[in-house]
Amino acid sequence: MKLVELNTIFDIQYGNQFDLYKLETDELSDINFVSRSSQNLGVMAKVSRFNDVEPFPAGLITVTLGGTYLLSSFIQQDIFYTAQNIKVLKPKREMSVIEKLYYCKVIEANRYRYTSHGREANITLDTLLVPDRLPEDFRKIKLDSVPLPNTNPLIKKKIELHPENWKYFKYNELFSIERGKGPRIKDVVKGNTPFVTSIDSNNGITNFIDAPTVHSANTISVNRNGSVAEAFYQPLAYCSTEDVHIFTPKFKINKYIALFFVTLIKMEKYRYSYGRKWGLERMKESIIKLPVDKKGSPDFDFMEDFVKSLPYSSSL
Amino acid sequence: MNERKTESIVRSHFGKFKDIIHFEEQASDNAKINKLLKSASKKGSGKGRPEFLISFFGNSELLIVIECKADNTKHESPTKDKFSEFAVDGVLLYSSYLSKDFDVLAIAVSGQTKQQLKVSHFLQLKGERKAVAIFGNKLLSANDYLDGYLKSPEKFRQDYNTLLEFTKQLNETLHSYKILESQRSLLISCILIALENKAFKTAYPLFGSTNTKDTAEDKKEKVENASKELANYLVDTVSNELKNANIKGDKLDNLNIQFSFIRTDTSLSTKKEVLKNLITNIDENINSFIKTHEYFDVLGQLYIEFLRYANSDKGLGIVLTPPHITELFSDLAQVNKNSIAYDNCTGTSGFLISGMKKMIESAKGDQEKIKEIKKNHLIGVEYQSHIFALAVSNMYIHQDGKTNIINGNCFDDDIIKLVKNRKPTVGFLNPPYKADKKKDIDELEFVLNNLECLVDGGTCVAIVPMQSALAQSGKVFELKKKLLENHTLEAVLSMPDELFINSDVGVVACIMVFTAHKPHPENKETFFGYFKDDGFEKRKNKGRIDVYGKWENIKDKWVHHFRNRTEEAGFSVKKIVSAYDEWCAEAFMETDYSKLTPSDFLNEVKKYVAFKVLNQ
Repeated sequence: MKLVELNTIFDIQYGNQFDLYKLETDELSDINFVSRSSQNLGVMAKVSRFNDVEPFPAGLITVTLGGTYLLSSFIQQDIFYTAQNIKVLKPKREMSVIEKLYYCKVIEANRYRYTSHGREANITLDTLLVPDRLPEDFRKIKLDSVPLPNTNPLIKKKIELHPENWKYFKYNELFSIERGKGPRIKDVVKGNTPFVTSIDSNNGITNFIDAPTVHSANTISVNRNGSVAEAFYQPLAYCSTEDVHIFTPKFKINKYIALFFVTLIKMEKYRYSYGRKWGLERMKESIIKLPVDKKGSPDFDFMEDFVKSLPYSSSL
Repeated sequence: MNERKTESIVRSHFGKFKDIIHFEEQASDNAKINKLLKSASKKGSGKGRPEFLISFFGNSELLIVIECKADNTKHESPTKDKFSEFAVDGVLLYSSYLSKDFDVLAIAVSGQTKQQLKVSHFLQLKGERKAVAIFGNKLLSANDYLDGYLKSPEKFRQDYNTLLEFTKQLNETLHSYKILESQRSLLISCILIALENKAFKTAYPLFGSTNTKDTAEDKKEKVENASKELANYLVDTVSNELKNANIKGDKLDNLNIQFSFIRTDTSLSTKKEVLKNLITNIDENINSFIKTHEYFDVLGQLYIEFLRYANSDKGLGIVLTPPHITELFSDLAQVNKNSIAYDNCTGTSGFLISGMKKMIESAKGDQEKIKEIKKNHLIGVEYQSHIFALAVSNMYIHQDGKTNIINGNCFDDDIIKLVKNRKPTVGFLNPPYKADKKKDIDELEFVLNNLECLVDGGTCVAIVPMQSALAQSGKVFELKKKLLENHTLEAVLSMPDELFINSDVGVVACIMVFTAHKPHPENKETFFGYFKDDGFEKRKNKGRIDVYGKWENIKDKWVHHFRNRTEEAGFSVKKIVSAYDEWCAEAFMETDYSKLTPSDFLNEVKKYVAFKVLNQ
């Protein structure tokens, strides 16, 4: 494999060096703001046009030069501005998406050369040695073999929420709540059992580990510590830690109803902080407001239908 | 209709102040102003020609620009972009150009007689994008304009930012001279006190200067000794100032010891010009800030900055209260000229200074009363001697009676007796936060101690860690019980999570308000506020600041809801509580389901779909 310097394949320049707080965020704008995050293609927010600065076009590659995940490289899907310490790569030749992705991975493979606040990548990125072209094997990959989620709703009907007519229920009327159990984090070995801890992303799963499952599928996990009041529907049997509480429903649940509850449970987040946790006793006594049927019982059919009426529900 | 009539009213109004202002029409002699107006025409191209331009002899930063219209209906357009037709529109256009280099007060005037006259004022500080409305609808005297501008919240924010930047530089300078973090605030307070002395202020720049009669030898010696002499002169001046302020005996000895390092410090007392330059810098930057914005805990801010990275005091649990919260305390306690305030954990005396400000405002210029307030209405106790020195200095700089800060332990019987005799009506405190749960004194014990000293029915406001409000068993629970047995819990206000971030401390805090010596009635409804948003945001190198100037309005809302015990979903709630309950809004407030939207659900659906895609 012939290695060449990165700047022979790409035109490399610094990004905008903007600070997010100086820009105006705007949900409806088509300009993305790319920061040094390793998540979500580095996109932090959508922002309005700043003065007369022309955003970068879609399809270019952004590379972070500092931060914990330095050299995180992404193909930007929309027009964008960037934060400090990011370089923007424009291919000097026509390049397929697969080839761009390949170079993203190639650049990231050099992360070991750098450390944040130590040797950072600002100066040497341009002359990083990389393969001169896409290896044959990679040319065979077809991107459309990864299906995009179906955005259609399952039910084509607009259902309205009327929280003012809902009624309060105690958590322990609806769920039996117990402390999460499983191996200690320092003892875990890789395997197939989902390991749910008190994080706020990836459905609460930090790892797949080699351990017998403790909690059943079709339950809801709720964080009592860490990212308190984050809640997730768990479709598979799993293990957990003490920082997570397990809600086993006393009614017949499915993923649609579960996601309805998850949304409502998360609304309680504001009550908790570093100084105030959601302990087991507090949790059992907590109340939740739910849509009800004529008899005044929770209207699970309504919850299910409502979630089914939302876009993407056919991909659930 | 004749615009000349309007102009002549304005001209004759400002004609009265010719001794302090420079009045110009259509254009200026000042090249800087003309350059800014070069393309500021109301018609879209060419030079801008505002009716009047006024600058002050004593202040080169402020510029007044005035536009006149004869017809009241041409005062202001709804869109504010008809520059040549409407007075407000036009003057704001000029202001947007002139504010590139000046703090601009833009005045729009319409009407042909004094009775008809309609006036609007806007302030646009240098570099700001927007102009804000200020003053009323009448023309004011030149002095009132200058004063109103200097004391406006906008100007304060700007000056405060400049002060923070200066503090940073100062910290770096002191670092390069290898002056210990803990000594930096003492040095600055020492210099600030000395600058109060007229003789010192005139004499210090002359140190190390030589005259023509001196021989080369003389010159050398004079320069070499200058630093040492200035260091001694500085400390001696301060010692004398304090003595004249009636600080005597042990107290004075203690303060002298605290300041004595200046006499021997290598950089300050031997290096050429170091101390002198420091004094000049501080006079220009900090002293001028203090003189413009009275009754602000400047030393507290310096202290926070100097110790931000070397937080050696964290172990002692010292967390200084941010100034906007000390100000809030005075509002919550309705401090006025008759209040007597007591802080049993004084620190740099931030609470007492903000209390003093409120008291003096309410005295409305009654000099006798103001004197009495400074002499008798502010009492503080501080345990640590170096912080005590800062507290005394801080009070000195603000010209209080100076003798009511006590260096000692607030739990001592003698001190309690002494304070009680003063009959304090308002208690403030931010007690040291426990580092060692078993050994350290609990925060609520300090609260009880403060309440004990207050008169019957006095108001105590304390900021304590959230845990103090939550305990449902153990020692803290017993203290909560004791509090309710003797005093009334009026309110608990949950504070923003990162309130103390400037001191590099992560504690989540709440404010408790008590009425002293009235046992908590069984059916008393306590007010709980979920006051998590104070409008402040974190900015690199500046910490949490009021970036958008939201605080004034937010504070008004907080105080209004507290005072009227107003309940609002997602913001506040009333509840009868016992010691066993958690004392916080988070526990009792109703979740605001009306804010729930389909997109909240959609968000969860999408996250779950993304999780499935990522893991299949």
